[in-house]
Amino acid sequence: MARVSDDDKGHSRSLVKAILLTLPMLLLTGFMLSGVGLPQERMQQVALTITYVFINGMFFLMMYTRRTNRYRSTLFVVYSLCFVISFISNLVETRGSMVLSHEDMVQGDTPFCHMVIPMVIIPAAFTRTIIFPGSMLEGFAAIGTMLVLWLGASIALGRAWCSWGCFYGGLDEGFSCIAKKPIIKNISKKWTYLPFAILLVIVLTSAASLSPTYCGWLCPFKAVTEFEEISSSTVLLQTIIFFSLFIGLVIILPILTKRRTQCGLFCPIGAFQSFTNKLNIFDVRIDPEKCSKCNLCSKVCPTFSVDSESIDAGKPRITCTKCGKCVDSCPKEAVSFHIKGTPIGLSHERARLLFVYPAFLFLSIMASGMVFGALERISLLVTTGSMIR
Amino acid sequence: MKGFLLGLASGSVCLAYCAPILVPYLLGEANKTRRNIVTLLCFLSGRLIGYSLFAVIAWLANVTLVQNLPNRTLVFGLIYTVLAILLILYGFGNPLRCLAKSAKSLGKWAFPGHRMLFPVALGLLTGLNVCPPFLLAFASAAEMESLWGCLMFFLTFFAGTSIYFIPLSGLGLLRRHDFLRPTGRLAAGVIGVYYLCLGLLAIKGSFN
Amino acid sequence: MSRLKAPMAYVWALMAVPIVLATFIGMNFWARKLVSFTKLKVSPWCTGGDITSVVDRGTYETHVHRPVFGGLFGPRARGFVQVTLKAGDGSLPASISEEIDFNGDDSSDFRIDLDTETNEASLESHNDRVIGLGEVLAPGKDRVIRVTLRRDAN
Repeated sequence: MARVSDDDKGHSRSLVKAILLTLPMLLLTGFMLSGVGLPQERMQQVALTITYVFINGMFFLMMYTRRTNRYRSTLFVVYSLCFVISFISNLVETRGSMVLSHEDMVQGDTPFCHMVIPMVIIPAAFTRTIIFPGSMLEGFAAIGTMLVLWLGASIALGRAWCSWGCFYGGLDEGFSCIAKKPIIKNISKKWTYLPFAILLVIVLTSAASLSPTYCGWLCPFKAVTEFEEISSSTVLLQTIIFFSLFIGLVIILPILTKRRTQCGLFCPIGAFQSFTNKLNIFDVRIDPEKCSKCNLCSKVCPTFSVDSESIDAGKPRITCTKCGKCVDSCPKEAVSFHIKGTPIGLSHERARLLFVYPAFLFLSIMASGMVFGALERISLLVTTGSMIR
Repeated sequence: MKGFLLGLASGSVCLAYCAPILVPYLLGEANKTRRNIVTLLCFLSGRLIGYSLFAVIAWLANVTLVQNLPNRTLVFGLIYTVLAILLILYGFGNPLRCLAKSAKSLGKWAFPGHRMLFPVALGLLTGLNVCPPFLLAFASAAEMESLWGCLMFFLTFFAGTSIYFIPLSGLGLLRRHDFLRPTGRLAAGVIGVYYLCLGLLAIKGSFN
Repeated sequence: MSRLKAPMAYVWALMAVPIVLATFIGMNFWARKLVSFTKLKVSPWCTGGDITSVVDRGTYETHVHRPVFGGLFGPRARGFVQVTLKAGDGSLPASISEEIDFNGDDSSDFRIDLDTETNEASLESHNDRVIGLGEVLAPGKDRVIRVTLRRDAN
């Protein structure tokens, strides 16, 4: 018989308890933010203070209301938007435009991102080389540092990376929140296998061609980061594909379906993270004794990870990103965060806290740099009329 | 012997070129290992036909001079495009009913009553693709004066390269995982889109 | 063992916060360790490969890289050799003509004529393995030229 602790009853907790639970996060984020040195300029100090207050405000609300997804989602969307603002501004400042030239590639000036990781594994195993025109250790987003970041995220969070770490995921999440009701409701289950299919294809073609084919042909986020200089019909076609995929999967479909269609129906790194999730201790469980089969969790899941089969099985599919939306929406509190190897139904809140601390810490460290950077750019825009120094 | 050694030396590259097409297909079918061996044999027989055809072309090239061949880029662009359309219909056929219907009728028209002719067609079309070892073999075979010499060269080249394909039949061991079947089919469709882009670019390039 | 499973799971869950902190605080340290342990390098298809010879021309240097053919399992039939013209303190001369020996046999394999203002180049081959001019790139004051090669039949 499932037992519910006192903590699990009701929704919001007392203000004092919420403040006490927020204190460790205040200290940890303060430590991490000040670690790189406090800024001297007044405008930067203001930007840093706003960042710190905003991030910890979100965590406090998460603790106070005991709702995970709403505040995670807010920070996640802001993080992605800020990433785009600060990344593009940095590119324009250092390169003059968002265009990536062959010169930049030969010089190893291409920032590495986690999307490339599945494609580099086989060539790295056979040739001891990374098939990406970046730098192993020097410069912004070096290959070595991004690999460490991904390894740390995979061990600590598993596929929760997609809802608590990825700097792109917040974009389609943001667009999926715009409409009140979904216009497209039924999407064939078959399409949820597409990310795995794309993963298989890009791994094989990248190994055969020794070049990251996803970056060359399919990445929708090229549209908001950097894209190759249009110097041939091939590059023109690739650019058309990038922009079409961005408009279709990151803007239009999320609005129409109220789901994260890029993450749930396309992203191969998400599919890859589904496998690395085995390394991780946290998951989401559905208690069959409490579940009333209302299917609300299935309807709200942004990544198509809950369906009637998975409800019967007592856990979401391997594509679950642990965003907490199903946990928050379940009227019977049947869905909960869970620690693998522990009994289901015992103290949901304990498991939730054990998961939310590292997950939020990861998100806050990733987001703080981006939010701070974007605020700095916006303040520049206000004071000088340009985002570029 | 020269053809066999060349095939043996460059077969891994052939595998690199053909595996992106063959692996999704084998996974998509989710057959038992024995059945996969049959599929693989059909694929390889398609390649064999393709290679034999190319042996004849290599001989003809020698007779009529390589430089006078019709627009090669256009020919290969068209081959890529046909291969791509086949893969797209196979991969995305089910949910897009109208396309599935076309695929079925195309299949019925092209291979009446013979399911195994599809991998043969895939093998034939990949066999006709211009991967570097294939071009090397073509260049070597084109130096030969007799048609028989060209045929033997390509047949031994085929034997050498085919050794690398044998382990792929073991993919049938993964058939217990249900999700691999739709994943494999969709992957074939994605590869089809990729080849379609390459084919269209080659066709466009042939007119420049 | 089954009695230990739950406590061990909680310990592992508690470790997640230190893992996150260690990831960020020690990121550069772990990255250096990872790179030195795995001996991973950026692919020569991207970098142009290791430099095999440097010729000092006074105002600039000519760096000839090792020809790149490496495939997944073995060498490919086609590859390239990269020549980098590295500017000294000033900029490169307006036109450069270079005889390049990429295989170290003390005889020129091709000649490149480059107009550094327009970045237009021409190639004269003295070796059967040289197929043609690949790319001419202008990273900063330097110039990078890639010449397409056929792999040695031997």
